[in-house]
Amino acid sequence: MSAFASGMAILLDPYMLWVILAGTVLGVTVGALPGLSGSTTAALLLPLTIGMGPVASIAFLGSIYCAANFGGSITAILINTPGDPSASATAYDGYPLAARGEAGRALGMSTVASAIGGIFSVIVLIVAAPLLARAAYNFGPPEYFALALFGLSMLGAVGSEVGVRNLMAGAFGVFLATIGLDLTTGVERFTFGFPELSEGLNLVPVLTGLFAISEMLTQATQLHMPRERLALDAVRLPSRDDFRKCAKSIGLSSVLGTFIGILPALGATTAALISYSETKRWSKHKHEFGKGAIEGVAGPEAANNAAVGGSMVPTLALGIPGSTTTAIILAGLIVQGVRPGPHLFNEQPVLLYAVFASMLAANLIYLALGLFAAKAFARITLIPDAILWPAVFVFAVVGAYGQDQSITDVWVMLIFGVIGFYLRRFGFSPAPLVMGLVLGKMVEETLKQSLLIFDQNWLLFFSRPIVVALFAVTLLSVFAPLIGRTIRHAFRREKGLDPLSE
Amino acid sequence: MPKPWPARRLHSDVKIAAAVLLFCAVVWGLTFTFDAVPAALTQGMGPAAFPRLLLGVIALLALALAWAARGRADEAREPTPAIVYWTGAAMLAFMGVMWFAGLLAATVLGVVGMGLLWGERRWPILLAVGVGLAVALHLIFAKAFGIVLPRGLLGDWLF
Repeated sequence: MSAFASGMAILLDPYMLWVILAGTVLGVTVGALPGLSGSTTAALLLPLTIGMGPVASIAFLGSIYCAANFGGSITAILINTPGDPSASATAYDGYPLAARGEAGRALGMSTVASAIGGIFSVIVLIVAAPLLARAAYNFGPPEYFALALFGLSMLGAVGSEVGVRNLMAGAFGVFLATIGLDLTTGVERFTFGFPELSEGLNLVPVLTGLFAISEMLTQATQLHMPRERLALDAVRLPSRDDFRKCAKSIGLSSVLGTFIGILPALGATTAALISYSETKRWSKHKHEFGKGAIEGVAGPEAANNAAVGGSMVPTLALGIPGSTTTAIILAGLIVQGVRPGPHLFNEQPVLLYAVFASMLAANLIYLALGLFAAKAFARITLIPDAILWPAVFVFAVVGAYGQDQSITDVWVMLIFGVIGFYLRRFGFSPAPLVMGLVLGKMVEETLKQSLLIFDQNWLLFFSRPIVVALFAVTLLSVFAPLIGRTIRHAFRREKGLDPLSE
Repeated sequence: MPKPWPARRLHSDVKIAAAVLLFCAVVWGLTFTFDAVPAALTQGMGPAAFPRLLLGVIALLALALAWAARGRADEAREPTPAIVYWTGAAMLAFMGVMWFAGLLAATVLGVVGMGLLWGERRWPILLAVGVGLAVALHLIFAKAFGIVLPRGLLGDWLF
């Protein structure tokens, strides 16, 4: 209880409040800017957090994460362009609402639903993370290896060729983590004579390149596309009728979003999309969806913010990132010398409760910002790309250079920017690559340690029940989409339809 | 006259899979260039074993990607617009200016140059943003965090 109280006490520290407020304002601002997502901003600002200390650093990044998901809805509603990918489902009904002059109502509902989803998930985080950590406390290297494998396998759980692409990108990320000295033998791998690569790829330049630089090149391809911006009337609290209509979808989406967030690798975007279709399925007003249904704004917004707290559960309790942004937050903690996992709950409980407190505060702050200052944030969308992105580029250069003050890191960032651009162009997302890169060292280390424990006998993995269970769900998450597809093909064949023309 | 056979275009996923397989083959070859491990340290997996395992997994996934492309319509992909290459060239130019004149000068020139390249014609605004950003970077990173920002050849020569 004392750790809980000490953690919560950070809210009385003016410096911490300032950090959380700055993170939240920054999160809403960048969330509102199309192309600059929460993960890009977290990657860009990672170097700034190095001098902050672990508590302030994670509070800052956590606040950005919470607020950016909400900020994304401002542009989704006003210009039909989600500022953050997690707000893509919000645009389906938010923009039609704004088009008929109800932008304030849509933004009001988005603000309230986001805050409810966010606060619900932080409460789940406070309860579930210590329980999960306690359950994982006696995990050894084989269990961690199986857990990391399960986390990576979830990249394939979205099914079809997208799942295969995600798994490929994830495996490539793990491969990139092998660059540098082999920990057991000291042999250099893929360093090509560059001493800077001996300790492996620096996470900050890689993340900045994959997110900020590749996004800038992607934005360059869209310069000719005009954006239609709708006027925003005053943001208002949802009416009692709106609440009555949306209560069920907010409740359902908060639970769904938190659960999807907890599953490793599936973040806010998946949560919002699934919750949109579930909200529609359970709604009495299905015909309104796509034409300006207020439930179509409430559901995805509650879900994408609920996923934030959810995705922090495996990140903090197990050290397995629940989403791309938490992978970056995890990288930030590693840079600070903190390795999240079950032991953290015994060793630094105050840090964890401080994280919970800061996330709770961030949700309350953006609720106030959304209701009273959304109009000001909406003006951010007026910043021309030609001014914004060169400034982002300069900031990315300084960020990549700052950690080790190395120009090589800036070149690494540029190279990964180009890699990220072509990955996106050919249908790969850079997010699984980051997940693989962050988990890579853990996968290799735990595999080698396990084999040492098992005297190089692979079969002994199957002597541990938790490992067997995790291997089973790993196989299920990789092959379930394939099995589902095969069954659908067989069904179509039986009906005399071409199975491949699906 | 018999109709000519329609030219069969390879699905882009098959081309991607082929490129990935080639990458895996090349990197697999590189694993043979690792230094030899002393006999006393050869217990368990060697330094090349894990990367090779991963390359095998990536190759298998590439084959799965090619297999999944059967009967699936290929996505039409627009060629990369010239502005992307020009933006890339501007980034390289930024690195050149940074090497010669330092980060702060590169910031001003980069913001103005890239802004003009991306279609912004109000150069006084770009100049103001560039100078403002350079001052902000100096204050935040150099003064507050004590980071030595790149000064370039010119900076080293002048100061």
